[in-house]
Amino acid sequence: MAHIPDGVLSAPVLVGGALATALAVGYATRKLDYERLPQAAVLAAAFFVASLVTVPVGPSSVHLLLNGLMGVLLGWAAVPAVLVALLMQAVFFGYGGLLVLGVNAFNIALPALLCGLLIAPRLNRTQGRNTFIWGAIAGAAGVAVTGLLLCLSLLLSSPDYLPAGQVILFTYLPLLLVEAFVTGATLQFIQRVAPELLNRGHL
Amino acid sequence: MNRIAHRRWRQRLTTALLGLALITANAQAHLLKVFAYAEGQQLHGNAYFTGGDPAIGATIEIRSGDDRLLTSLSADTQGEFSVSLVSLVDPDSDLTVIADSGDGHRAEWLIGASELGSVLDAESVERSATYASASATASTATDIELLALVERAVARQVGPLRRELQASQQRARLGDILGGIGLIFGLTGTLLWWRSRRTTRP
Repeated sequence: MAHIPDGVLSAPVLVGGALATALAVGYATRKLDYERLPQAAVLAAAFFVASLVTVPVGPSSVHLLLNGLMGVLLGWAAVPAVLVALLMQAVFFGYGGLLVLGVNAFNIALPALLCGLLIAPRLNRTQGRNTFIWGAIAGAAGVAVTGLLLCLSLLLSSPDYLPAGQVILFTYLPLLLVEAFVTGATLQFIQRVAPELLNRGHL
Repeated sequence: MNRIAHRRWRQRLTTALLGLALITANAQAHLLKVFAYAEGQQLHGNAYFTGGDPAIGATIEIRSGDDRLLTSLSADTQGEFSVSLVSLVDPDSDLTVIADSGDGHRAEWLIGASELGSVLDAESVERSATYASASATASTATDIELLALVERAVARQVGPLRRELQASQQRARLGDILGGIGLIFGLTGTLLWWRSRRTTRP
């Protein structure tokens, strides 16, 4: 559950999320490195499609987020990439909604930015297994922070969502492991075949 | 060397993306849906994730048009539920069926008063039937009774069909996936074109 549907969150949370996302997109556009746009498009497309492969966990189902990967590879460009992909998912698949787009984008883009800020610089200096490990950390951090932000958005809307938050955190545990592995393996692969992609990753 | 590796990486990624898109063309999506229909005085419905997985144990709330909670129940292991409307429905009121899978997924289904009309009619039919037999105009009473029976039978036959139609409409289709990917790349292309136009200008 990474896409909160319309009609769940309260108005202040919706407005807050929309404002935060607008600010982040504004700043990201100014810092945008046009060289990185094609990569942003490829990763946005991967993010868009990955949400279709869902695995049932308990009463809910989860899918790969890839926001850690987007963060370390794209830096600030991850913000518009996430926003566009989420918009497409809302329009084409009905995931989330247009009113909650700001909150959902914030919940997924902020962890991506954190990965870009904190993990990408370390990742650039690694080789082989260390690349995998730092990549796995980025993947896990992306999922974990998104899960916490999701719970926070639900709880800020209404304390009644506490059980929902607990369910989300529970379903995110297996996702965290898979996401860590996928992100680590992808980054190790990129490091081997096209290391220059990683070196541009820092902010 | 770098350029070749770069190109190979891009090719592999494109292949992987396309493969993923094809594999998932019919994969289940990630959206809770609820559907309900009235059959006689019985409300039937089911809650499911798009693609067909039942929302097992989802909480179902039935609310009146003015958002009053009428009853609350939970879906069974097939994601299905069924409730009697006789005690619930006021005339001329819409019903909203709300499903909640407990993790923030939420779906609504509106049943208009017109669809519920037959339920109430059926009730009044029974009442009028007793009146009718008392006043010995039995022929009209049986006609009305027959009409109610026909409506109920049709609802029973059509209900599952409507449910299937709903489910298939909600499925993410290959066209949607390719459309979304196309739009993302198109948008990027436009941005790059706009950028290059600005930089090449004197």
